[in-house]
Amino acid sequence: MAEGIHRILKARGIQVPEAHQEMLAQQMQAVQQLRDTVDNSQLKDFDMALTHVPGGERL
Amino acid sequence: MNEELAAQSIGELAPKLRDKQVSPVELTEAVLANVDAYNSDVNAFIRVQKEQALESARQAEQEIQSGNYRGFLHGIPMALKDILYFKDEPTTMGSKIHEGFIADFDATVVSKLKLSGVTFHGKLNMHEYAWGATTTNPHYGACKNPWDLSKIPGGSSGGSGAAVAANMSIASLGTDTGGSIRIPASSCGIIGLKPTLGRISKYGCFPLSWSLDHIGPMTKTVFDAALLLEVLGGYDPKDPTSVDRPTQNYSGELNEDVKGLVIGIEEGYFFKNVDNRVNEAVQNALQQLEKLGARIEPIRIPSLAMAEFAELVTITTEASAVHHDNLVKQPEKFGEDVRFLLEVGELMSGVDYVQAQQIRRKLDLDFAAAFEKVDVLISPTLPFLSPPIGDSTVDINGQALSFLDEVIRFTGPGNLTGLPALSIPCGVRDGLPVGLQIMGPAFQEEKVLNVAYAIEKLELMKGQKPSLKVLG
Repeated sequence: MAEGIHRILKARGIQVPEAHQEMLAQQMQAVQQLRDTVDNSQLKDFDMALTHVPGGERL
Repeated sequence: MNEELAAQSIGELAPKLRDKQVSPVELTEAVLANVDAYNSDVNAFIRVQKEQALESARQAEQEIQSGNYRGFLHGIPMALKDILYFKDEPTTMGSKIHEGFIADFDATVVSKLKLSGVTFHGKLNMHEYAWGATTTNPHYGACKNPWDLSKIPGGSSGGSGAAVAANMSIASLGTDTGGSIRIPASSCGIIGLKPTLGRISKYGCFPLSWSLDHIGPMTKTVFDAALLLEVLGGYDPKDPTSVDRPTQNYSGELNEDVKGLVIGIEEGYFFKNVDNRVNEAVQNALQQLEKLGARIEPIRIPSLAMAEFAELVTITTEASAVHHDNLVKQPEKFGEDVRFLLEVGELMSGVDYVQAQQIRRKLDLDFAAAFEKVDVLISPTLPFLSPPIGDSTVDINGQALSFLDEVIRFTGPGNLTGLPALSIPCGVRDGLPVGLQIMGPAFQEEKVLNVAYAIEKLELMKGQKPSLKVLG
C-alpha cells in the first residue's frame, strides 16, 4: 500500500518524507475501516445537497 | 485587587465600567499584568499588543466619561485567536508560511467587536492553520493547560481556552471545524459555544474546511457567551454560508428553569468508550437536572455510525484543497503533523467526498427527527481528560487509543450537521476540568444556552479554578 500511496502523491506533485510513508499506509487502513461503516443502502435516497447560487455571490 | 478584576466576567464588569466604578485603563492594566505574570508559562499568546491596548482603553475611558457608553463590551479587554483578520495587522494562522501576512480588511466579527468598543490586547496561539486539536505549535511553541502545565489545553483554539481560563483575557473567540471551540473549552474549564452554521459570519477568517468551519465565543460564563452571540450573530452577504435568521436577546432571556425539559441521551454513540471519571461527572450533572424536573429520554440516531467517516473525509479533503499549492511548493514550512494530515486529504477519492455529504444529509434529517422527541441532547464533550503534551495516544480506562481518532468523536457531529453545541464545565476530576456538551435544534441557541445556564447554577465546579498562584 505504501508504494501505491507514494505513487499517487508523487503524481500530484507532492514530495512525501520517508518517515510518512508507513504512517500514511496505516492511516489509510484506518480510513478503510471507517469506509466499511458506510451503509450505501441507507444513502441512496439522499441528494448531497451541494448548493450553488446562480449569478454568484449574494452581494 | 488587580487580580480580582481580571478574574471577572463581562457580565460583572460591564455595569462597573458603565457606572465609572472601574476604568477601562485600570481593567486593561489588570489583564496585561496577568499576561506578564502567566504567559511565559502558559504561552497562550503569539503576540501581545500592550501599547495599542492601553491607547484603546484610554479612548474607551474618554468616551464613557463623556457619556458615550456603547454597551456591554465597551472597554472590555479581549485577545482573539490569530486566524481572524485585523486590517493592517499581521495574522499568522499559527503558521510559518503566513507569518508576514497582513490583511487589508477586518473580519466581520472583528468589525462588530470594534464597533462595540472592545479593547484588543493580543493575538492568541492556536494549532497551525487550526488543523489539529493540541495547540502544540511548532512555530510559536506549545500552549499549555493552566490547570496542569504538563497537559494540552486542547485545540485548535487552545490559546483562547488557556487565556480565558488564566484570566489573561476577559473573553475570546475561537473557530470550530471538528470541535476546536468546544475541545479547548472542555480542557480549560470554560464555556465554548459553536452556534448554528450561518449564524455568525466567517468573512475574514482563514478557512480550514469551508463547509465545517464556525466562529463562536469562549467565555467564563453562560451570560457572556449569550451576550457575544447577540453582538456577533446576524446575516452577512459577504459570507456565502451566512443565513438570514433573526438573532434574539439571548442574554436577557436566559432562563434556568428546566422543569419539563426533555434531555435526549444517545448512549450507543455519545457514551461509548468514555473515561469513567468523565462519565461519572456527566452522569452526576444529568441526575441534578432530573432533580430539577428535567426528563431523560434515551434515543437512537443510527446514522451516527457513519459520522466519523464523513467528518474525516470532509475535513481532510477540504483542508488539503485550501493548502494544496503550499503542500506542493513549500511542504517543509508546515509542521510535521499538519503536513501529514494534508497528505492524507490528497488521498481521499471524489466518491468518498460525495458519500460524506450524503451522510451529512442523512444526519441532518435524523437529528431533526430526534429533536421532535427531545429538546436537547447531552453528552460528554470529550471522552477523556486532557493528555500530556506530546502524547499521540489517550488513555481511556486503561486502553491506549489514538488521540486523533478520539478527540472529535463527540464534537464532529455538530460540525457535520451545523447544529448549535456548547461545552460547559461540569466538575473537576484528578485536577482537570470535565466538559459536558449540549446540542440543540438548528437556530435555537437559546435552548442550549438555557440548559447551560441551569447547569452553571448547579455550581458543579465548586468554585475550583486553575491555581494561577503557582504559575509565573
